[in-house]
Amino acid sequence: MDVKKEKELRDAEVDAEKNILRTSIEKFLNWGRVHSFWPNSFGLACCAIEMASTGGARYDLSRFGYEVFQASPRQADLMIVAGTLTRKMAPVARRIYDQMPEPKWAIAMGNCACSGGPFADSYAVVPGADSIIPIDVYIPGCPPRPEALIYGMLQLKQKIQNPSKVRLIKHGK
Amino acid sequence: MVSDVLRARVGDLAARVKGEVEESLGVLELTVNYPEAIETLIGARNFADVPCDFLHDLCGMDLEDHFEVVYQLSSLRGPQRLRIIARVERDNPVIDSATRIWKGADFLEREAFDMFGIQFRGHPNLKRIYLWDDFEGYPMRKDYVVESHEQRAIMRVRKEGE
Amino acid sequence: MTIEGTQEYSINMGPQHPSTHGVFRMVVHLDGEVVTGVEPKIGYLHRGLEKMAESRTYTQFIPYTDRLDYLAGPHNSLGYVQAVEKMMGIELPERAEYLRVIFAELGRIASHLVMIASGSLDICGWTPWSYCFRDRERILDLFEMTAGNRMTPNYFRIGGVSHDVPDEFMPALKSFLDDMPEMLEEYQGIFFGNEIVQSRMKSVGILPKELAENLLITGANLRASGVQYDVRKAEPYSIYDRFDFNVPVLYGCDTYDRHFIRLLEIQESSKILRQALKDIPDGPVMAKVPKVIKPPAGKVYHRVENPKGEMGWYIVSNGTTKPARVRIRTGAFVNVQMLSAIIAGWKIQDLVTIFASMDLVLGEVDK
Repeated sequence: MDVKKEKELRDAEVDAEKNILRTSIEKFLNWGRVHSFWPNSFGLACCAIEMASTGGARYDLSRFGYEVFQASPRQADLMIVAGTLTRKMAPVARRIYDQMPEPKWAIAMGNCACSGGPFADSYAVVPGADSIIPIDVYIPGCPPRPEALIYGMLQLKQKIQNPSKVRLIKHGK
Repeated sequence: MVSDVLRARVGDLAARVKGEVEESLGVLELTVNYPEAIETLIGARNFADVPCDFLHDLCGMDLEDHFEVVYQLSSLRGPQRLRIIARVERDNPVIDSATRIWKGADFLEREAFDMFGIQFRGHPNLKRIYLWDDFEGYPMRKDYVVESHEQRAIMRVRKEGE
Repeated sequence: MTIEGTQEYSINMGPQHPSTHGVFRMVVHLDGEVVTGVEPKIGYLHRGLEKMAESRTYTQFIPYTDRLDYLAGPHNSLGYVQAVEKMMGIELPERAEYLRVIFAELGRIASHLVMIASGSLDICGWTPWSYCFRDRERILDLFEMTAGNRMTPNYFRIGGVSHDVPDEFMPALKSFLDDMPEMLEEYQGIFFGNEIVQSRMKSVGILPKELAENLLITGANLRASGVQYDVRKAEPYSIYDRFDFNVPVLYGCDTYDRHFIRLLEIQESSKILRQALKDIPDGPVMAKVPKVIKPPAGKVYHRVENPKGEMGWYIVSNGTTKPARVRIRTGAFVNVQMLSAIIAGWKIQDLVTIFASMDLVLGEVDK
């Protein structure tokens, strides 16, 4: 650990004894946001059942604070596209994404949402939800295990808490 | 394992509607032309002793020079089974609707229309069921070409009142 | 009938809705709170499976069949592989038949558990939902132990099953079956004996017997309206004629009966599983099948009793490795017509329970 970081930690410890916390507004708000995502229940196909199992008793999503599946997009901040996105459904998905208030994120769960999956060459399937909605985290699998979904949500948590790291790793150019 | 009574009845019906009878894997098949399709279905439903009164499936098929509408009949009260194949022209595919016999044929015929373009005369609501209303073409035809990756990734515009 | 001063209006219960069990859309015509008509608009999950079957070989299509009724994973492939085997005239070894029956019945129990769970979730009963999903996890453990995937195991092959079950499978299945009577009693007490459930579901959504036959309804919905018909007894496929089980029939024709008959069917399935567990022989699990599956030219139509209805497979082969036409007749697609036929006169809250009792899954409706 470098000297600057050690000094910061020592100061933080001294302050904590006096019940003072120094942080930036951005970090504080991000801490609140990532510890309670409110997912919008946008389950389309088989992956929706795995999403429901994740909220069940064995793989408990409540221990992270993510169990409030809001039906209405106006009160949600995370959209989990779980299942095959067909061309008939695509404008509906975009409309629901637009109805969500900022800040909002989107996760593509399952092979069909990531890239079309086994149905990529079908006449009625959008090959990948990211041509309709900007996706933050991709979770492959058919269907991905509930632990994979939890891992994906924790990766999203890391991504939000460290925005500078993500800006450095830009994909594409 | 086709019973003789069923074979006899199907033979009589085939003579009446000028159809051909074949047997494949234990099931009798009766092939007719499209004008006689409804008469054949009503005749099969009213067989004495072995009525085939439950339409299990209705589907279209694309052979190179003509379409076919295949009806799979069975019964809730006995083991009789029958397959009725109605030949339909390719250029102008029209056939009478079976909804006046069984109300449940409604969705099945809409699906055949959506996938092949076969018009069912007398259907109460013949619209596309699986695909959106502006879709061009009939996907299950053998000469349909699937659009490219890029074309499918463009979001379509929803019509008002869809 | 409108009263002076009111107006009929239509609202949309959209594709994204907490209680439509998937992407199902309906336009509901209302007069106050009374529903006068419903127009279902489906196709939001249409993936074009029938077209894709024409560009895949027979074995390559088996994983796609699992995605049809994704709640009862292995049961869908049963109809498909049996139809192809009928065309090729393949006889299976005994152990493969027993394993297929075990997996198919486990899929049926899993599907009925989700039906009871979502039926209670629609009227805001969270506890039966978590109990059913907790018990469903045990079935998914059995699938995962054998084939690696929880919901869509892709285990059946043309000519048998892909590999033998591991050693832990039989003891785990036996302990699941031993806990089953207690489970069923729990559901009986918490859901079916509940006063709220009974007052909301009894005498709601009557489906008369003649209307059900005219609408071509199949499966448990038909049996809850008084028709004794089950494909496993009428035209036994696989080895179902060796097992001793009843076909439950109820005569109430209402929503409560349609839910309760699924509980009775879980009981009958566990009877079949116990008998299969006792009688399963040792031996090979795959018949001698050519490496390249090329059925002779012909047509076959094979029916199985899916948990959601009857599934029919019409396969036309032209002698090559790829089928000329695969037609999937799914029970849920035809059962959707039941909704618009019986809904007139009920209120919106009854619409939700009637819809839940139809037991649709959109993968089957939309293919």
